[in-house]
Amino acid sequence: MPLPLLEMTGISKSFGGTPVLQNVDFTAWAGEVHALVGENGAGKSTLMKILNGVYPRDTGTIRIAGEDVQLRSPHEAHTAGISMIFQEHTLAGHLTVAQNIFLGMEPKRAPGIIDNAKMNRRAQEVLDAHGFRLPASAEVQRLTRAEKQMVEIARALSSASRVIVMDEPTAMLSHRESEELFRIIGGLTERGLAVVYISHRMEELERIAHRITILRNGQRVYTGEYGSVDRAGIIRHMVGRDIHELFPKLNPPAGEVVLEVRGLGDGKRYRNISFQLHRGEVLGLGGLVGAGRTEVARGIFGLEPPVQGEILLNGSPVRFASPKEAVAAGLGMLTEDRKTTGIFPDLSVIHNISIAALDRVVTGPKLKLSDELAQCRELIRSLDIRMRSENQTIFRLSGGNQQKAIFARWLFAGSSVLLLDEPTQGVDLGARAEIYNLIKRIADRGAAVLMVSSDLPELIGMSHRIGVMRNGELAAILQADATGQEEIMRYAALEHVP
Amino acid sequence: MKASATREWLKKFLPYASLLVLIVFLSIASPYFATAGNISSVIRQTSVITIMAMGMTVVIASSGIDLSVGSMIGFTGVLGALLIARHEPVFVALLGAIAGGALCGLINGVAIAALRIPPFIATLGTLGVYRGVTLMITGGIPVANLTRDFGVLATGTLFGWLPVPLLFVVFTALLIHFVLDHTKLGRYSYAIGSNAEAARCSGIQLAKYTVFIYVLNGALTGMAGMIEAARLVTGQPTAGDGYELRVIAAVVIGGGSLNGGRGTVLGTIVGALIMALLSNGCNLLGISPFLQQVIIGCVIVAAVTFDEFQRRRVG
Repeated sequence: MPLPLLEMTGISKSFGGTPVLQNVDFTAWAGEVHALVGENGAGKSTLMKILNGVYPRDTGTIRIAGEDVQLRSPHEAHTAGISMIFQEHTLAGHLTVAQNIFLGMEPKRAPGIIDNAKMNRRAQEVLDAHGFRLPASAEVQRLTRAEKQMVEIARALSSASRVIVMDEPTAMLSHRESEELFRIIGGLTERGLAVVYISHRMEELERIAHRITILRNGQRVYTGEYGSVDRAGIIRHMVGRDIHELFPKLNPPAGEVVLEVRGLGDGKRYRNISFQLHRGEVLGLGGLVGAGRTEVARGIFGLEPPVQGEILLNGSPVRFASPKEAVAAGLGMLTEDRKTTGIFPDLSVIHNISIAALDRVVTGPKLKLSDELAQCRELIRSLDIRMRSENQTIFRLSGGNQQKAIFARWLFAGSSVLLLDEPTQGVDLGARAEIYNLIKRIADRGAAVLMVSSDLPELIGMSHRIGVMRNGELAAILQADATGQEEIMRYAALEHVP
Repeated sequence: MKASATREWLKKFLPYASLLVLIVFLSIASPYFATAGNISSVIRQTSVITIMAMGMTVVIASSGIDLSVGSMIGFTGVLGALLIARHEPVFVALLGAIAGGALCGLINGVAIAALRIPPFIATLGTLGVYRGVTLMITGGIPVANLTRDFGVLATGTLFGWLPVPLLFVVFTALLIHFVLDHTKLGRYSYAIGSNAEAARCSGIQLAKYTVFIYVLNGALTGMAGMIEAARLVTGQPTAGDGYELRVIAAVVIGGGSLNGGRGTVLGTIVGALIMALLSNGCNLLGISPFLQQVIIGCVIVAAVTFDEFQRRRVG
């Protein structure tokens, strides 16, 4: 019997007395895609960081192709043939694609002197061999997120990798780019590499994973062939309970039009966008990444004011030159990237909630801190935002709880129109269900919701209607209960729909 | 989790613990340290820096920096002295200096917010501008021969024991504490410093509040400039040279972070006191002033290292 390529046995790790991993076993065979799933905090990242030499393990052994390895640093892990592709890009923006691919292992002409020509040539070979249509000489900061990810993968491939760990690799990719990635992964496994694939997206896992390991609370609860357990089973293993319905049943919208846009365009990335948004309605906005969905939401919110068309709020024309004006008019926006444009990491949860509507708790120059505290506490309780203490900085909360706090921010502000951009990105499954319930509650209270999402089941399950964007135009508006993933993809990806 | 909580606690209380250790050590090491005379002199020496550091706390909380405050001390001190020389009452001269400082702050704020120049560069520029203008106004000659009663701002006492500059420090501390914890301006300062883009997305007018923050800092620096002039009983065009570094150091030692989002009035006071006591202690113990600079420099580096180390562990 052949040896597994990667064999982690009895791995335990605790931080400051709190066990994060307990006696976890994990093996990966050459040529397999091994899905690693679990809620946030289940220990996936810690396990992979141990594999990558970022954290030392407390106990346990790691073998690569049967040989014991120590992996005391990322460099040692790299030498042992382990590459990791992180969620957040770790590229040097000012350098070229080739320079990034060969960072730290540049081909040398003489000691200390880099052979640029050779480096560019070899980088281009790697890119071409895997069908990445990228020039090796391009500056990385000018690339799209998907292209950056290709560079990361190319970097992993250029070294003698045997095990490649991918952490939520499609989080930032469009549908087409994801397809591209799956094709690349197929190529990797054919060449006998093992791919450890961390993701929450089961549609993807079903397509590419051969085996699955499920972690819960730092323990391995399941390992087996991917097909040996169905979706419900996976969820049950992950959360330790059943989630019967991920999506709550939406009530029909209450009626009158709250927000209407007519012929909206920014002169560059979107044009001629027209739709109506009703009280109590969730309008999904789908399409490929780069189709202009986020830009439309940002345009309405005054972040990058549109130059064409008009916006009507409760029937009167409005034009927001800044988010300040949009917020004052009753709009709220949950931005795509929680870390860079959502949370205030140094501020407490309470201060994060009240920040957009301090005028509600101000008399003269003075903030009424007790009013603020009371109202925020009520929101924290009703949204079930879990934290250790009220003074805890929001930075230390899980992604799902951070996201709930940002919802609380706009509830505190009493927003009547909510623009949600990828509301469940980076949120674990349990919290996702809570966020869906929250969106339903917000709609039931009479707010109008525009929800940009790349997650097709989410679009279909959580919208009344779905607008599909393609190349900066609104290709169709579909009834959510009468459409399916295929129809949405057809409008999103094809030039002409038959 | 437990370890991180311990670290957070340590981070919070390290400045206070350091101050306490320093006081205990100096009390034992020098019999003269704990005398009323010495303490009063420490307070007088440190009040100008402490008042300036209060304004800088707000600036740094908003992830800004103001390098021009030292030059503002010279400018506003000369302005106040010129008003005194025209036989204006001390009160009017003080208001004039505050207004002059506010104007400097306004220029800084507008340069940063409207012209979108990074604060470090904008105020590096105005550092030169304000000093140069001051030297041009005075021709490089100190404004002297002022009435003695002007000195009361720095050397006077209330009830025969309470140093007047201490009153200014207490007033400023209460004001800034109120601003930071109980007003929109304070909350927005932390928010802008913690994540400027998120602040914009939350409907905060970055430009407006940035200008407010620098005007507030300028006004307080103007007040400090007047006290400095009173201490010298002269409008020295070169006064305050290099103070910006001591002020920034006080804020950072007191737990403010140059990455923004943090800083408290109490912390800054402790930071200013640590700086003052290090200097006072060195004098009392007969340590050479050359070595003093080395010691204070090391303390600043240690404080920032600790802050960065914390960030990295958390991040």
